[in-house]
Amino acid sequence: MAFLEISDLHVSVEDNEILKGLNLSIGLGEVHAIMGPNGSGKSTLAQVIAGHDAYEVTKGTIEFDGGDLFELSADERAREGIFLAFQYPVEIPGVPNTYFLREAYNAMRVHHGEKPLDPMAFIAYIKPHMERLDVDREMLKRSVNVGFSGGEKKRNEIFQMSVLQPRLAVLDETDSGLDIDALQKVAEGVNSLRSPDRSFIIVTHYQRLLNFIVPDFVHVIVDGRIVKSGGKELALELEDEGYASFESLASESNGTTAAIVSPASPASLASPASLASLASPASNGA
Amino acid sequence: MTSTNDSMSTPPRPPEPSSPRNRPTRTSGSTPSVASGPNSPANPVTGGTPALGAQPWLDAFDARIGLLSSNGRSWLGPLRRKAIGHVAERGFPGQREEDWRHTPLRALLAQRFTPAKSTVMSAEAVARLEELSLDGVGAHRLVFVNGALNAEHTRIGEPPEGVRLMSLAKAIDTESALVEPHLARLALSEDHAFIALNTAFMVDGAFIHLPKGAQIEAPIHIVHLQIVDDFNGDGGSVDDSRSRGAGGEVDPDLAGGVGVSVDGSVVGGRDGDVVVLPAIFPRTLIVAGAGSSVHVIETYAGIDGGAYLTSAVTETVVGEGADVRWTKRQEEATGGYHIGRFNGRQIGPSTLATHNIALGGRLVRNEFAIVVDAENCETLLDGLYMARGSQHIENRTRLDHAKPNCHSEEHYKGILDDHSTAVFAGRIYVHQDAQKTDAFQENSCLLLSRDARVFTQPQLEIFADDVKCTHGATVGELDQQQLFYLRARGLDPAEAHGILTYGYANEIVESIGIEPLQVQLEALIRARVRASHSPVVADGD
Repeated sequence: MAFLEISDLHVSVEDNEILKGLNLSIGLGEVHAIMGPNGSGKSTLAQVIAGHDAYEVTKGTIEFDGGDLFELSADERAREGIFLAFQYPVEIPGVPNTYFLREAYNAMRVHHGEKPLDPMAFIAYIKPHMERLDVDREMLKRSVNVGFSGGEKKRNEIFQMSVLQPRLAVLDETDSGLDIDALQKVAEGVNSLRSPDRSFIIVTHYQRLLNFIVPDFVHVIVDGRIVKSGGKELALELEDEGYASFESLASESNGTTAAIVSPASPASLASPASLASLASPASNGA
Repeated sequence: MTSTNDSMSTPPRPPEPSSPRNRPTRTSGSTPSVASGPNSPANPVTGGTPALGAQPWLDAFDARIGLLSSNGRSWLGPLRRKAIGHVAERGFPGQREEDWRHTPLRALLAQRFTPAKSTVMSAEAVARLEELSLDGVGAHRLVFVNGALNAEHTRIGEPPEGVRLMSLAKAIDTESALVEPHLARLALSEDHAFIALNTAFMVDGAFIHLPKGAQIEAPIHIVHLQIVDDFNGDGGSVDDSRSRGAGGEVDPDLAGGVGVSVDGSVVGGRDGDVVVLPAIFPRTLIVAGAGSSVHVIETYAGIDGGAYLTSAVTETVVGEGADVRWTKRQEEATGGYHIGRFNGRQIGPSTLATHNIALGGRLVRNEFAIVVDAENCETLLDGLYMARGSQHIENRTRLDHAKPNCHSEEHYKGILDDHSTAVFAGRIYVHQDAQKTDAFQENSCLLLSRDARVFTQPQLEIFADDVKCTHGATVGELDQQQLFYLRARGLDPAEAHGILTYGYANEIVESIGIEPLQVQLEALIRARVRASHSPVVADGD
C-alpha cells in the first residue's frame, strides 16, 4: 500500500460533481505534480485531502499511511502531518505570525506526546527556517498574511511548512501570482524540504514551477479524472501541446459526457476575487 | 467623616425628577411628596425638597465641604456647590431617560455610598501596581489610591520646560490661573448626577498642561487604584452577593426603585445593617497647547474585594497642531461600578486619538463627548470591550463635527460571553457648517454565548449637505475561511476560535502604540479568551 492511495474518488460541491473517479497512488518520499486546466478539479483534490468540509465525497476512498483519511477532521490531518499550502493564504488580522505558528507547532507536538515549546525555545527552533526562507523578524511580528505581498504570502506558506515539517505536503498553485524571483525562492524552500520521509503533491496550471521543483511523476487531470501519468517529461509535452489534446483523451474515456472542458478563464487564475473561491467552492470547480 | 447619616437608601423612587432634559411625561408640578427620607432636611441649595437619592450626598457634602474647598481657591467652592445643587435638584438618571434606557442602574442606586477615604497600599496593591507598570517605556507615573495622590509610588521624570505635570490638588493650589479656565468647562454637572458628584467631591487627580510646542516623549501613566478592602472604617465589610445578583435582572418598571433591595426589603428600614460603600471620584485635566504632543494613559484598577463606585471625569483641550492620545484601561474589580466621562475639545487643527479598553467592573458606562471645533482635525475613537458573567459594559460616544474639512474614525469592538450585556451608542453630529466632513464609524460584536446581549445604536445626525458619513454595526460569528485555515494548521476548533477571537480583539490593542501596554493587554485578552466559551461548531467532516 502506498503512502497515499486514492481510489475511485468522487467529489461534489452543491450537487455538482467535480472529481469523477480519480485514482492516484503516492509513495513516501515522492514528488508528484498534478497539472490540468482550470476547472479540472485539481484544487478540489487539494482541498479534499486537507479536509475542507464544503466538499462532499460521494464515492471512493483515500488511505493515508495505512488508515482511512476520512476518519480524520481537518485539524487532525494537519497534526498527523498533512500540510496544505493555500493558493490564497488567508489573512488573520490581529494575530501575530509567530504566535499563530507557535500555537500550530505546539498543537502538533502535544499531539505527538511532546512538551510544547515556550516562546524563547520556539524562536530558537524557527531561526534556521527563517534564514533559509528569508523571513525576517518584522514579517513574524506582523499579523498573519495581513499586508503581505503575493510573494510574501506564498513564502510564508512555505515557511510554515518548513517549521511544521509535514509528511505529506500539498502545494495548491503555489506558483500563481509569483514573479520569477519569488518563484525561485519558494522553489528553493520546497527543494530543501525534499526528503525520503516526505511526499509532495504539487498542483499547478503551468509547467514553469516544475523547472525549479523537478517532480518524480506528472499527472494530467481533466474533467475530474487523471487522464495521463508519466515522468517529468510529460510536463514539457504539456508545455508544447497545451491541454487540448488531453481534453480529447478525457472525452474519449468518458463516453457519457460529450462536453469538453472549456478553455481556462484567465480571470479565475489570477484575480484576487478568487479569494472567495474557498468560501464558495462552486466557482472553483465549475 | 461619619457615615451614620449618609444613607443613600431612600423610599421608592418617585416619577422622574423634573427637568427640561427629561422626556415630558411629567410636569414639575406632579413631583410627589415622597421624594425624601423621613429625616431629610430641605435642600440646602435650592431650598426645596431634594430629588430622590440626593439626600445622603447632600449630607456628605455638608459634612466635608470645609475640607473640600480648603484648596483655598475662591472659585472652587462655588463650583462644587453648583454641582451638588444639580444633584439635589435632579437626582439620579433613570431608565425612562433615553440615554439611560439600557443602563441597569437599579442595583447601583440601591446601594449606599459615601466618598472614599484614602488608604495605604497593601502588598497586594503594590503587586498590582507592578503588573500595570509601563516603566519599560520610561512613563511618568502618577498614582492615586481611592482618588488621593500616593506620593510614594508616583514618579514624575523631567518633563520638558514649561510643562506642568502634577496632581490636580497641587495645581489648584499653585497654578490656579491655568486650571480655573478649563476645569468643569467641558464636563458639565448639568449632564447628570455622576459628573456633578465628581465635581462636588473630587479630591485629586492629574493635571497636565503643555505649553506651545512641548512634546512629551514618554507616555504619562495615571493609575487610579481602588482599594476596597481597607475601607472598613465607615461602613464595614460588603455583602457582595446581594448586589452581585442584582446586576443581571433589570425590570424597567422598577428601574427607578431606589432603596428597594433585590429581595424586596426596604433597605432604608434597616439602616444599622446596611453597608456603606466607597465612592471614588478621579479627575483629570489635560490642556495641550499649540504644537504639543502627549500620550496619556489612564488605568482604573480595582483590588478585588467588595463593591464600590468609581465616577471618573477627564477633560481635554487640544490646541492648534497638537497631537493628543488618550488611552483608558479599565480593569475595575468584579464588584466595581464604573461611570466614566471623557470630554475633548479640539480648538485648532489637531489630532485627538482615544483608545478605550474596558475589561473589568460589574456595571461600566463609558461616555465620550468630543467636540471638533476647528477645521482640518483628525479624531479617532477606538474601543474594545470584553464582558463575561453578568457584567454590563456600555459605551456611549458623541462626536460633534462643528467645523468643515475634518476626518473622524471610530472603531468599537466587543466580545461578550456568559449572560453579559453591552451597549454601544455612537452619535455623530455633523453641524450645518461642517461641510466636507468625512466620518466613519463601525461597531461590531462577537457573541460567545446565547445568553449574551448587545444593544447597538449608531446615530448619525447630519445637518450639512456635502459630507461623507458611513457607519456599520455587525453582530456576528467568526469567519469560516479563517477557521479552516487555522484548522488546516492543526488547531482544533476550540483553539481556532480562541485565536481568532484574540485576533479580533487585538486589532484594537495593536493601534495603541505603546508596546509594554500592548503586551500586557495581549496577555490579558489571551487569558480571557482561553477562559471563555468557544461557540459550538460542526466538525469539519
